Order: sequence, then structure tokens, then C-alpha cells
Amino acid sequence: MSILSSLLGSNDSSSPEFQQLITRWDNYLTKLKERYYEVLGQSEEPLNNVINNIQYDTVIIHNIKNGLQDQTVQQLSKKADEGWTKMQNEMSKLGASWNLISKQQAKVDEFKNWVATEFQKFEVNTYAKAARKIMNNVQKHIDTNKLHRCTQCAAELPIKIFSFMAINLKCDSCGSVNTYQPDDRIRAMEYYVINHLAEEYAFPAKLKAGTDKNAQKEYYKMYYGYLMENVSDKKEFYERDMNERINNPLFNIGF
Amino acid sequence: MGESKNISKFNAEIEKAFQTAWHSEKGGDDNWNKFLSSYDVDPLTSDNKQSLLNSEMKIAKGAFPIELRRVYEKIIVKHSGKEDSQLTRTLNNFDMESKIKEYYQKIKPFSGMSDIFGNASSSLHKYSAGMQKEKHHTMKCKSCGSPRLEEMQYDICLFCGSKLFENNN
Repeated sequence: MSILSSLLGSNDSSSPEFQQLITRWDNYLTKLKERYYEVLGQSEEPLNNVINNIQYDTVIIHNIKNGLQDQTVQQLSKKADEGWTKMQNEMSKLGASWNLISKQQAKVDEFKNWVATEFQKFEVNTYAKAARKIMNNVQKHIDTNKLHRCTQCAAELPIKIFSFMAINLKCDSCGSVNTYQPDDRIRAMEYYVINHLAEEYAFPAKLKAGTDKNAQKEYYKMYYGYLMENVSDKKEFYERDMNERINNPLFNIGF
Repeated sequence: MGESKNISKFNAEIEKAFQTAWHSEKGGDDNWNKFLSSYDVDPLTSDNKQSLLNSEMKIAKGAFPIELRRVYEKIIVKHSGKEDSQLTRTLNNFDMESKIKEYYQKIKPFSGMSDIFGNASSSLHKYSAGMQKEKHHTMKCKSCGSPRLEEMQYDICLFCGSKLFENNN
């Protein structure tokens, strides 16, 4: 072996010791993946129970999500890092080259990316389930046929029950201004329901885009498009928000 | 100086027992029973297993720790007859309790789940409880009772000229 190759390590990955080490490493990462499914599998029943009992907000889902994210994404990524420290030592002992070592190290990043993406899917799916339950609850408690009459002349007012902001409405009949504040449960739907359903709708585009900035614009267009369609009171606000985001010259730098 | 061959063999057997127990089905399976019989250890009876499964000490997978302990004891006896001072020291220092505890940590159900749901449960209805129903009213002049007639009318009453909104500053 030349002096240089002894310094750089060997590129030979065919030795049985090396192959055994790689198998152990792959098994370790597979077990971390199994652990991910195990934790989320155990959360399924209590989570369904929570969603069945949810009322008009998803605050509890947010709290549960944080706990589960810590037990899966954070803890398992940490374990992958810890495992890699041991693996790297073992590889160095076998005299593996930097090239071979970095190839195995890439599996840590792949795993971390995998667990983060899988959790994102779980998160979007969970919030969407909760959103549908909340929408169902709101619909049960809101009288959509209720007539709204002017406080001064009792003429019928064209008030939309599913409004998301307070409005001042001038009565066509007497000219008085009626102030209407929608039910809080409906207003809360903008975030707790429609926002999450918009995310669910646009999420495939987010996954497809990855780190491609131009493709990410498609995600924002879908996300805001859904909001503009379903929160028509605030269409202009969301349109401005979307344009600010996708036309921002700094958009291509950060995400 | 590396560990002696005898120690390596002993550690390998301990590790194999650990892995076999850990990867067996909840309460043990055929593979684990074969492993037990290879060390001449009797598995727990079905009644014993059932009563342990119903006990407070829950397991999510793997064989029962007591069976693994019996295998460990057999492995220690098997290796203790050899004339190897390093091995003897290793056997004497073998911490059975912590090994069994380590095993139980691997097979017990994930306990963090109840904490996560327990902590979150206080927020189940907390924010929904304060939500108000719709409100509908007309702003009127406090002096004459005339209704507001313009959507952007924030200054004076168009009928009597009084201030529509009081400024506290």
C-alpha cells in the first residue's frame, strides 16, 4: 500500500468485515424507521379519540403534534447521529477511505430527510382530519337559513352567514348602517379549518417542489388559491399576500 | 490489549440472547422457545404468561424479562468453569440487574404517549369554550338616537352633529 493510500484509507468495500458493518448500519437505520411507525401507530387510537371530541379549534392537535414530533423527528434524528459516531469509528478502524465514509454518512441525511417528510405528511393529514370534524361541528350549530333584518326598518339584509370578518352594511331600504360580526366559530374556521384544508390541497405540490424555488411558487399559488376561493371576503388580502411571496426578490434566497 | 477470545464468546452469547428475546413476538414465539430449550430453560407456562400480560408491567414486544434472565444465568454458568482470570472478572462484574433493566426499556410500551396526550388534554375545549355567537347591531348617536348612515362615518351624527364615537384621550 502506498504512503498516500495508507493516509487516505482504502476504497475496498468488498471485505466481509466491511460488508458486515454496512449491513449492521443499514439494519440500524431500518430499525429507526420501524420505531417511527411504531410511535405513530401507538398514537393512532388516542389521536382519533381526540379528533372525535374536538370542538372548534385545533390547539390540542398542535400540542400533541409537538410531543409526537419530538419523539419521532427529533429523537430519531439524534439517534441516527449517535449511531453514525459509532459507525464512523468502526469504519476508521477498518481503514475505510473518506469516500466510503462519506457515502455512509449520506444515509444519515437521507434518514433525517425521510423522517421529517413522513412527519409532515402525518401532520397535514391529521390537521385535515381535525379540520373536517370542526367543519362538521360548526355546520351542526349554525343556522344557515337565518334571516338578518335591518335593525331600523326590518328590511332583509344580504348577510352571508359564512363571513370571516366584521362588516358594515348599508340598508338599501332605509340607509342605516348595520354592523355584523360573524359567529366566532365561523371566523375561527379561517385558520382552524380552511387553512389546514388549503395546506392539504397544496401539499403534493410542496412535496414535488422540494428545494426548487420556482416549483415552490406553484405550491403557494395552490395554497393561496384555495384560501381565495373559500374565504372570498378576504380574497384581495390573500392575493396580495401571495403576490408578495412569489414576487419577492428574496424568495429565491430563503424558504 | 484486546479482550480475550473467551470474553468475546461470552459477550456474543449474551448479545445473541438479548437480540433473540427482543425480536421475538410479544410474550415469546417458537424461535424464542427453541432458543430457551437450547439452554435447557423451561419457558413460562401459558397461565403464567397470561397473568404477566395482564399485570401492570406492560410489554409491547419481545419475550418476558424473567426468561431472558434465566438464559443469562445459564450462559454465566456455562462460561464460569474456564481458567481465564479476565473472563472470571468479566463474569463477576456482569451486572444482571442493569442488563435486564436495559432489556425491559426496549420492550416496554412507549410511555411518552400517555404524557403527550395527558398534557394536551387540558387544551381540548379550552379555546372553543369562549367563542361568541354572531352579533348584529347599528351604531346610534347617543344624543338623538339617529342611526349611522355612512359606512365610514366615524366623526359626527349627520342628524344632530354630536360626536358619534367618544374619545377617551
